[in-house]
Amino acid sequence: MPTIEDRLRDAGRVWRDHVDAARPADIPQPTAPHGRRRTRRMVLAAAAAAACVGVGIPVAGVLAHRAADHHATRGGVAASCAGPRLRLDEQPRSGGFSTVRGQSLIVTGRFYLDRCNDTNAQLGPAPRPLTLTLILRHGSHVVHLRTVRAHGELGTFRTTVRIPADFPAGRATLTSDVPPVGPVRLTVN
Amino acid sequence: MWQQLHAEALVIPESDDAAVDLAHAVRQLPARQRAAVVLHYFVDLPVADVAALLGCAPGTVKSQLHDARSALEQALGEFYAND
Repeated sequence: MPTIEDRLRDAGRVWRDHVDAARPADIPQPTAPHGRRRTRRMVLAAAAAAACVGVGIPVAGVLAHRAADHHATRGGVAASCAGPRLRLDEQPRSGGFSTVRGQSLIVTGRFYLDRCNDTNAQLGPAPRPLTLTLILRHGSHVVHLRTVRAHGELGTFRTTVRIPADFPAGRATLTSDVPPVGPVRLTVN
Repeated sequence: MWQQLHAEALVIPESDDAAVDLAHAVRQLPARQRAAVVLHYFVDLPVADVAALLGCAPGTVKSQLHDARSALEQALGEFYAND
């Protein structure tokens, strides 16, 4: 089980790789690789420092612009305002997920929030977690599995649902009445 | 100002769900703790440099990082709260 320290370091490494990959034209690029990394770090640090003392709008804008560009061109997702997500506990990272009628599945969800304002508390009230209904669909056959209440600042939940014994076999979709970013696709046998 | 920089800059690749969750939680931290976390863990600056940038003692930064880690543990610990 990684500690929060491990997770922070990992996330930081991912972020630095992500930022380094963008390489915008408006960041000075020295010739030596070591110098290039150093300059990028200095730009980041300068932006952070300037932002902290309140004079960093132009430099902060460079980073924000770079982040937005990267988001648009690489399919990344801003940490802010992420849409609701559903996941099955045993769902593989890739490939299909199969289950059988009558089986219980653990479903987790996050970012089930009523509004998108998680970047600046001064812009309005904080988002509140939603109540949602989990839905299993096979063509026109729709079953409301259960209603759950999300929790906390991240709008998360974890619950167990049971595939109805009389549910038709074949491909199905697990979704919610609050549309998730991507429904969970599974095969019911 | 820090909030504006940090909020826009913390873009995490979509494939890394855990990092997205963590970044989301980081953004809920108080501004000074968030600044210390981002400068130390994300920008990868040593504590002494973070202290110099934030205009405080290294011990203060360490304290802010400690408080931030505690807050993150609490926030992420209930990440999948049982319904």
